[in-house]
Amino acid sequence: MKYKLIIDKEAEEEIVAIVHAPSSLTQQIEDLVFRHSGTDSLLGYREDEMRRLALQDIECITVLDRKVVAIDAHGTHYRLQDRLRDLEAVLPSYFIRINKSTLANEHRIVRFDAAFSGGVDAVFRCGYRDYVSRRCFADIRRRYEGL
Amino acid sequence: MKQHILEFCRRGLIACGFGPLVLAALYLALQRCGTIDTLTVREVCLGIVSLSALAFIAGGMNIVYQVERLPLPVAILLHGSVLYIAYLATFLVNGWLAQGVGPLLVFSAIFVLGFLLIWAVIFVATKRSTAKVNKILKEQQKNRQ
Repeated sequence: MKYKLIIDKEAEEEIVAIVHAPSSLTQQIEDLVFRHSGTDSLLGYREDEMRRLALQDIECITVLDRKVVAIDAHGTHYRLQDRLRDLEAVLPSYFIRINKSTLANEHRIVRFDAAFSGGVDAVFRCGYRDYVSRRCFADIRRRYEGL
Repeated sequence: MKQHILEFCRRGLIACGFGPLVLAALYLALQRCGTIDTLTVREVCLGIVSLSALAFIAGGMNIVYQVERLPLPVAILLHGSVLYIAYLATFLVNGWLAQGVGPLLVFSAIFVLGFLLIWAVIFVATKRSTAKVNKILKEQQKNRQ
């Protein structure tokens, strides 16, 4: 593996890694970039409490009762002020869409379950489960098969 | 929901034009087989209206596959149930299904068997698919640690 540093004061700063598959190294680089740019956390609200939620500790971000909610490792729900679509654009790559109203932290998914109804559920470490839409499951499968 | 209803109507309206065409083909086939020679005005009108309605429902019901939340087998079951009722009603209204429990059972059995088969195939395929994805997920999580 090579390391290349290009210094160009005119270009937008970015870090590009060309790899054969995601690894602990790519994960560390991604975490480092997010931490460096100060976007490695989100502000979550719960009753009178406001908490900074580290992205790594969020199990999933979903829409419940028309509100965007982050669910942490303990299963606690925190209301977010951003829209899901906006979050999807800025979150790290390990946040994957599992249905039209949920972004899941891939690292926090324990398994995918084939439901008796024939659908697929994603089961998270905190015990929370959400359905995976057919389209999203096909995307996940395609991406995994490409690895 | 409103969007799905509108889409149901749009698809139904596109499909319902094929109803009378299917009816024409059906009557032609029955005439060739020597089952019918003549049709009354009532039979023709009833046939056109009922087949148009059946085609409208059959065409419109494809919308269930566009509802993201519905798992595929549920969508198939819903689609199948509505089609079963629509077909049965059409057959009964036009007098194409012989009276009695026997023909009704045969008709129903073919439908149920078909749907059970589809459900089993989908369930097994989903199980296999999730097992494969879970295996890669585990490997990936292990690599990233």
